[in-house]
Amino acid sequence: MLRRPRPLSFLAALAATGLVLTTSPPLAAQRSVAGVDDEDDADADADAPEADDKKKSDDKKKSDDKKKSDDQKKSDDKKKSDEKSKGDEKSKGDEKSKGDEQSKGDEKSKGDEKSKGDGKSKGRKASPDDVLEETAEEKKKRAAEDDARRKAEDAVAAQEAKKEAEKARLAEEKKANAEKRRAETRDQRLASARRVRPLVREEGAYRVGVALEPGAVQKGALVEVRFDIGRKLDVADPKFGNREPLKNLKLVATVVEPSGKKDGKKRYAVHSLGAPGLYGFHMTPPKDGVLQVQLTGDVGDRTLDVSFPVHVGAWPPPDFDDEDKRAQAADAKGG
Amino acid sequence: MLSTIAVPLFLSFATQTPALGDLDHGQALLKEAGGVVRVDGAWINRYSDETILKLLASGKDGFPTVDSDNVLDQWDVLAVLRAANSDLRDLVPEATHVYVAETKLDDNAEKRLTEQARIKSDDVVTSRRVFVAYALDGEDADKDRKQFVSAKEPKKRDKLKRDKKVGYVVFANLDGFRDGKHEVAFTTDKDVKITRVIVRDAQGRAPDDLNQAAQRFLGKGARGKYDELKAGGAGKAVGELSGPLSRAFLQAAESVYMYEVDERDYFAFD
Repeated sequence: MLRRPRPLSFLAALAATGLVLTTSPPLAAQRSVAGVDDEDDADADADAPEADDKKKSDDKKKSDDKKKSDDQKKSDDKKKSDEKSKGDEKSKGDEKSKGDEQSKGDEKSKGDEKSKGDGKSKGRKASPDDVLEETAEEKKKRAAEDDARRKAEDAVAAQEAKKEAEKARLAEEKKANAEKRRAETRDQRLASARRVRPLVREEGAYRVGVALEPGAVQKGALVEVRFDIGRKLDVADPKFGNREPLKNLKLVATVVEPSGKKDGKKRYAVHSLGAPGLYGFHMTPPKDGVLQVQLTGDVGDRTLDVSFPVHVGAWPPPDFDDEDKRAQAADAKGG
Repeated sequence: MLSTIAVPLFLSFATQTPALGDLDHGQALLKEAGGVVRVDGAWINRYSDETILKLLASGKDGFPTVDSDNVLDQWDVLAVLRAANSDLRDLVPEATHVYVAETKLDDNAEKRLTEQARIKSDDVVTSRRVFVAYALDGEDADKDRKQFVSAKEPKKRDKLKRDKKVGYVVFANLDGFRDGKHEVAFTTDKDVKITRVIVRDAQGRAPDDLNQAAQRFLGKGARGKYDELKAGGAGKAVGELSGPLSRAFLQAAESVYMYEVDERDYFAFD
């Protein structure tokens, strides 16, 4: 008996060939509702084993389709519910956000006011660091740069230290040379001091340069004692430099002879020599020994009082080297 | 001889005043310049130190010419000249200004001296220099650097009011005393009482014995009194000195009166 091919079996066959992969779910649904499937399936089971396979595949497909449709439906429902909830949430969120924003605004304004007081650093801290995080490569590059910079700085410091050391060495060398030269020229200085012997005395800010002429003092011979009196200035004067000569001073020199007798003390008026800061007096030592000369006088804010020995009949004087060093030290100080 | 001049003088009566220079060197320079030591207080006290330094460089007004570029050499010579004479710094240390008055006795003054003081008319010295000492205040007042004012400087003299006067200094010869070449320097107060007195011999020395005797006359003398001054105590020097010193004082006082007459006239409209 010739059986009219069933349209569904045909579709299934088509599906098996791959020409029609799926059937529309509404059609399947219609069929299942009409109750046609059961009869057709039974017929098909009886007709051919191929049909069983086909049926199985169809069933499977149906179940898959159904599952898919269910899943889709579920997902649609879910979507809808999500959208709904989102809408609710949104509406709620809008309302909430408005309130939040307001409160945030209030807080922000408060915070701004506070941050103004706290300073900018707090505001910067608030920015997330993770956004500016460096990559490993950048880190490596930066480390290399830091290393190079450090090395350069170390090199500069080392160079400066070397320069300082060299400078100190040169200064030491210069000093040593000067000492050596001084030692070599002691005879020359002695010869010079025999004519005019310089001495230096300092009292506070005042410096008194003394010149004895002749330096080799002999009894019964005239000695000219000259003084160069100045005040050391903290700030150099354009006219005088760092030492201001003191003018119009009233000075007295008291010469004490070694005898210790009453007549052994003579007072001399010290006169201006014409140039600013220069003064002097003449004396004639009556005998050999050590005369003590004391220079006194008012220098404005205080009384100047310096003294020094004059060795009569002794050459070289026993204090020659000491006085020489004292004069050098005073010169080195810039007096 | 000159070398013996200064030391006793300075030690005895002028120890407060420091030496102006080196006497030994000054005497050598003075000798080299052909100068001599002159004992005449009225002459050398007429000038300030600065003026005398200039005169020593030029050799004027009886000063020798000291040919040296070193000012200390001139100070040494000045020290010798000052050492042989009584100095205003010792006689009126408190004075800042000194008016140098040239006085001349009038007939009445001479008459008083000859009649009341019984001084021979030949011994009366009619012209004499009187140093009137003033102590002023102000920036230009310096006791160590006294300012000298003469009659030719009326602006300066105008400042020398009577109430600023501290006394008078007069130099006179001790006529009739020993060789007749001694000089006495009197300092008197405004009422012409003796406050200081120094006697020097012809070499400028101030012998201790004479000066000790002369100190007995301190506080003596008075305006308008012409009796001989009577010093307390006894001793050869006092007895020897009393008459000559009194006559010298009366003549000096008469010169002071002459100055006072001139001063009254000068400040008549004050």
